[in-house]
Amino acid sequence: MKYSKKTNSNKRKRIINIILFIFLIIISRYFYIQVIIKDQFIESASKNNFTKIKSIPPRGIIYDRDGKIIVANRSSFSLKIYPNHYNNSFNIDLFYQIIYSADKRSKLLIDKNSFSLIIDKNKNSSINKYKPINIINFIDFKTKALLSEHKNNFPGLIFSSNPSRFYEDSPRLSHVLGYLRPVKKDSVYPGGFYGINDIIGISGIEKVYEKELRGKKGIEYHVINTFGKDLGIDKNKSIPFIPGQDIYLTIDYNLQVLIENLIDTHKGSIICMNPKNGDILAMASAPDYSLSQFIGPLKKEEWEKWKKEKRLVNRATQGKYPPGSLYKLVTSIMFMDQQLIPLKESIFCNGKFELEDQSNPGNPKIFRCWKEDGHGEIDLKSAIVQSCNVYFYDMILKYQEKNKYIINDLHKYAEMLGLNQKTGIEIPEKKGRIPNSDWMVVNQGKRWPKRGSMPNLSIGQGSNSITPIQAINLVNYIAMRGEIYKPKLVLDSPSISIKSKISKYVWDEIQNAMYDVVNTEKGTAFILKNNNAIIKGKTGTAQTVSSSTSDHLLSWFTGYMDYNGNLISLVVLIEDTNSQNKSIAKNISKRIFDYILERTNNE
Amino acid sequence: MNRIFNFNQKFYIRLPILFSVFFLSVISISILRSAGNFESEIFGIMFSRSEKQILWILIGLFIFITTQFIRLRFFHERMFLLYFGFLLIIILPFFSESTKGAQNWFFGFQPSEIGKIIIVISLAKILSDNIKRVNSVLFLFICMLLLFIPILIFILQRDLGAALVYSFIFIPMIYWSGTKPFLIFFIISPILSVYTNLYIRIYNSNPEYEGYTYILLILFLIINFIFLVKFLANDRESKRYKLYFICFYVMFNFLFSFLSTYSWNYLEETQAISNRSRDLKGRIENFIIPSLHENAGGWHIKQSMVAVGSGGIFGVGLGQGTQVNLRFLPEADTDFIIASIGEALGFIFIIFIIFLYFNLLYWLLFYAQYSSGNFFALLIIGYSSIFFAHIVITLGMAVALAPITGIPAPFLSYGGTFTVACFLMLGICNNASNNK
Repeated sequence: MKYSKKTNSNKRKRIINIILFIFLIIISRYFYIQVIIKDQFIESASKNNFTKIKSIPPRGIIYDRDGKIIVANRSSFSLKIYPNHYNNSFNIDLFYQIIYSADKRSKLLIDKNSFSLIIDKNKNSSINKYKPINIINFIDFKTKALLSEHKNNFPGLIFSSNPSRFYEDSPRLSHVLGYLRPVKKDSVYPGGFYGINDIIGISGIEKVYEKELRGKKGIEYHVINTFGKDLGIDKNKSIPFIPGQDIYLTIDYNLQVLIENLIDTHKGSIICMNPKNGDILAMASAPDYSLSQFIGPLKKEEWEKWKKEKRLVNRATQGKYPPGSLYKLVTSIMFMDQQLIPLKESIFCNGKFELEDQSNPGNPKIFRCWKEDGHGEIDLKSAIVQSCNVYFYDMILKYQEKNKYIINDLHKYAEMLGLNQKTGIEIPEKKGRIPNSDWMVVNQGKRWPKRGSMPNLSIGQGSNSITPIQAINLVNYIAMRGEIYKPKLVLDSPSISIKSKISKYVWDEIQNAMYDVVNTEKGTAFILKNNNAIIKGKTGTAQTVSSSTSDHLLSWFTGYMDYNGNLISLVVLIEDTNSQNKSIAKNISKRIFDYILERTNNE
Repeated sequence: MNRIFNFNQKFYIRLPILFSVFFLSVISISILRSAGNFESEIFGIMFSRSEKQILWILIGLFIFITTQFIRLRFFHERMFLLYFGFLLIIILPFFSESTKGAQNWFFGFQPSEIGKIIIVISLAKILSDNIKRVNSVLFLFICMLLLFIPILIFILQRDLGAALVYSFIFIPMIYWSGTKPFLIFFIISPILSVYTNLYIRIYNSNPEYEGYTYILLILFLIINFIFLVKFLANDRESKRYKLYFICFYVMFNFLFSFLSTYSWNYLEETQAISNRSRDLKGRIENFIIPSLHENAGGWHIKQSMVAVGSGGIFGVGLGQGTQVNLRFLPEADTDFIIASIGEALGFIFIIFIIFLYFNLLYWLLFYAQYSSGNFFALLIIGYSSIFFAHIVITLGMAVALAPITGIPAPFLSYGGTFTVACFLMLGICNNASNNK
């Protein structure tokens, strides 16, 4: 073909057109991506660059009423290894020697034999080499310190801390505080706050005040590169966490330590309270459990053991016990308030009371007084002071003759005194049981009504059961002459008063009787007499239903002390005493009162 | 006169070309300053990538000037020597270790970059010497052979990019030499057939993705129909020639379709038992449909699209691009520098870069038209088509229009051999435009 400028010009134009056409396609593609659908790429670019990590706030600290720390936070540590920093100078033998000797709460995730294999494998992977490998969780501070000492031998080793609770050994206050557990995969909590392994309060104050204590999670935006290497936190984007609220308990630190020591070797419960505002100054339930065991994984055997020994039950609010002679206070208040027959008359107690059985004449049912020789001539006041059963047997039957459904009246008075209902304390509690006629019909059927039930009920045996917190409420009614405050554990909770409709003069009478219990030689709690303060109280002994045959007794003491214008009420329940050791509740009470007086004098 | 240099030669520096080169270099250096902060040592002095690139550009400019004193006829005379020397050079990398899966490096430089210059010279000489035979199928076949030997070597070296760029040269050069369009179409047609065939097959074997299979098929049929109608309508060829041509055309296309189908089926059957088949199949899939496998080769494409897309109209600013700074974008300063620019400077600068490239190509073609002989014109056309191949593939690669082949953008990407080779090619073009 002949070379010509004209054909070349045509060719050039065609080529230019093709180039233009292709460039236009490319431009329109760029326009489409950079202008029209750019948002989706901007979004995925920011997703590429950040990982959201929830930052967990420290849980609120729990203080006693004076600001002494009862529960604080302290970190527990996880061991991790960065594969990219790991090398041959890592002393595996020493590393595992330290770990094996440590107090292991949790399982080793990687054992010695597979250690170098796994880490070498990750080290050689471009994706995994920046990701720390978890070796073990929940090591204690001591092990951490030991490992840090030899840090040069462990290249790549890091510790990451997990916030966890730190408990004092004394006071333990286990049941009041309650324990925490990590959230399990399959458990669902509303609100979407919890992720797996976040801790949540399961019992006690930790559960009730979970929302206040947990605070609010923050979000940390970590800048991550394509290898997954963390380049730090983006401060502008991140939302800081809000720490949990601190809680001040009504608990008196020193008193709590004392009562825990006193009850440590026994089974039972002690509660101290200020009746004037409802503050619970001390509350113990024995046997208890160590809250420190709940940091990290809990051994299953331990848990099963605690369950078997009923350590997890808070006896102070959830233990149901026969009130025994304490109930005589309730019966007496009913006698005094109703006055169906004159109470001035005295009755002769010879140690036993015979009740004729109509279906089986000549073979009377015998109720015994605790004193086999009998109390002799006795009136209501001395019946309370000396805790004479026969007086109450006799009187309740006389009342029953006047009013066939006296059981319902007794039930009504018990309820007026705070029994058979929840007291309204913050932590979980039981209602107890004070039977009325309906309950008896349902549970005892055709045999009801019969005369034989009432004597037992009137002295607090039979189907009655109360909790120690109800017992202290009963004492508070007497101490405060009918107007009490709802028991509370948290200082900021409002003091709510509850009034009883019982006539005023009854309180004086019953207070006098309780004064005599402690301050007369015949009184059952004479050992508590103290010249520096006015102590009033009532003892009680009851057979537990399950152990009625053997020599197992419940020992109650409940009372209050008036000192320098202050009031303190107290209930002591010892579950596992016997007839030789009946006065143990009184002895413990004496030491508590003595301690309080001593402390007041020293101030 | 057999010397290579002639220092008495008069020459003009074609400023419109250097205009584009200047702005492209400025953009390149600013991007490299913000993106590639790797440092390396040369003769005891620490250099960052941008500083090294400045050095390369200066060396390139020196070579550009030096080339103006080359007597281009020398190449014309010594073409066969050059060609066999070239073949010798490009088999050198077989004796060195492979980098990034491709074996195209030899002691720090890429022979394929220098080879481009020689292959264009060879083709230009053959075509300009035989300008009357350009419509002979046998002659075209010999020319193709000249090109296919190095392409085959590059494929064996797994340097897909060089193979692709080399195959880009042929069509523009024979078109400029005067080969009739229907013959050119005859050469292109098996590529279209194989592409359409494989495209449809890939989407059939990956039913979870949606492709434009029917649109492509219809487009393919329309193009062929138009071609055949136009071919039959022209009256310059004899009826017998037309008959033979159509027969060959159909047979040729069917042959390639069957071959590709057969190979594809073979790969599909053996991919479960042979790693090699699976690897090859994946490569072909990525080549035909770049964005298919997000987690394999398509991962690069995805990150590149994210970079380009997040740049928006005005970009996020130099050094602000998270895709680049956090190393999500692979090869951000070489193969994917367009994506880096898209992220940092936005659509505006993409348009500007395309304008600069267009300006470069426009003036190169202009000088080709006005150069004084076929050899010189064909040199310019050959180098322009190399530039064009690089431009289209790098621009397209960043937005999933072209397969990932690992080739850099002229005057933008970081790279010593490549930058120098670009200036050398431009220098030869400038020189060729001065030969009146």
